[in-house]
Amino acid sequence: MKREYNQAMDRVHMSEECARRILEQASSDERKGGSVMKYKVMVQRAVAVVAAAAVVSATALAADVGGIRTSMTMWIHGQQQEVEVEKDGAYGYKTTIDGEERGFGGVAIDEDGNAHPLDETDMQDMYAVDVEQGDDGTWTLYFYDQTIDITKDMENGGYDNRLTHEGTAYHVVVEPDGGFSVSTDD
Amino acid sequence: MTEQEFVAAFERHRDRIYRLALSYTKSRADAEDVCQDVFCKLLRQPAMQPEHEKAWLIRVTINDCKNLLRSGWWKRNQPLETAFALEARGDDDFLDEILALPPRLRVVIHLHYYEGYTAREIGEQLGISESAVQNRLMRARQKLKTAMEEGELT
Repeated sequence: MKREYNQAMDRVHMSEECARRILEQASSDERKGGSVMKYKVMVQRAVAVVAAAAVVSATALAADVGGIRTSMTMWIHGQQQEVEVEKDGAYGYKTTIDGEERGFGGVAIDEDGNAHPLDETDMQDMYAVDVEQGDDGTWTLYFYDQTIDITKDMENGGYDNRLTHEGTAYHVVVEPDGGFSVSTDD
Repeated sequence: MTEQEFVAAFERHRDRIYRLALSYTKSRADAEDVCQDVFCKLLRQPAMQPEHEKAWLIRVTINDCKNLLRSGWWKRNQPLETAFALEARGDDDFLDEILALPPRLRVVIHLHYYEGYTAREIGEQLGISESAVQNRLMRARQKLKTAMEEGELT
């Protein structure tokens, strides 16, 4: 059994695309806890969305169209705010939140495997879920228009709950290190 | 750790972590997500001794896979056969049987037969007793033996 299993597994390799994403992440200066890697949004039933809430390096993507500025309504810290953003690469944007530069962006992969930039609705939701730890050690979860003190949950090993926004239920998990993931339940 | 240290660690373990995640989730997309998360966490760690680094990565990968399987997000987005067909399987029937095992049996099979860990070491990785690992290995072997006999496979 060992021989057959090992032979089968030896044929399995991480894709170069996955490796590239991971190495780009390592060279990026904008890493913020687990939100960089884990935030995903299921936009439509037929579309698989990969949202990488990080600065998307212009060298890794098709065209560098940096410098273009626009404003966008985004959920930030429990409120909808008008935010000035700057295009960063083909699929990314960057902005400043609380004095800290942050990048976001991503692609939607359709059923044919084609990548399309996320639309403005998806962008608006990029920071709709966010986790912060204050200097006093308290933990706050921002979920669209909700601001939730999750300090006790974090002291007990993390937060795991279902929250609702506009009729859609989301499963929100915050890990002890502050990394979080959001998923829809469909 | 520095970017250089990270890249070296990544190249050492990329396939190992991917194979473990794939054996757990049976989905290429989910395995890649797990890998991204695991190596993102590694970035924030100080440089480690090689044996400690490997054990750390395996433990974090298993935890991530468990969390993924518990989450509402997890769903098989491609059939098992497709996931492994892309990796050019050889003995399809045998691998089918292993991957049909429940995740907690699959992971002990993988850690024991592929990574070469002893039952004691696997127990430490999974947070269970050595005898629990032995039981799972025995059950996995029995299930495989039964499945292969029923399918008249050699």
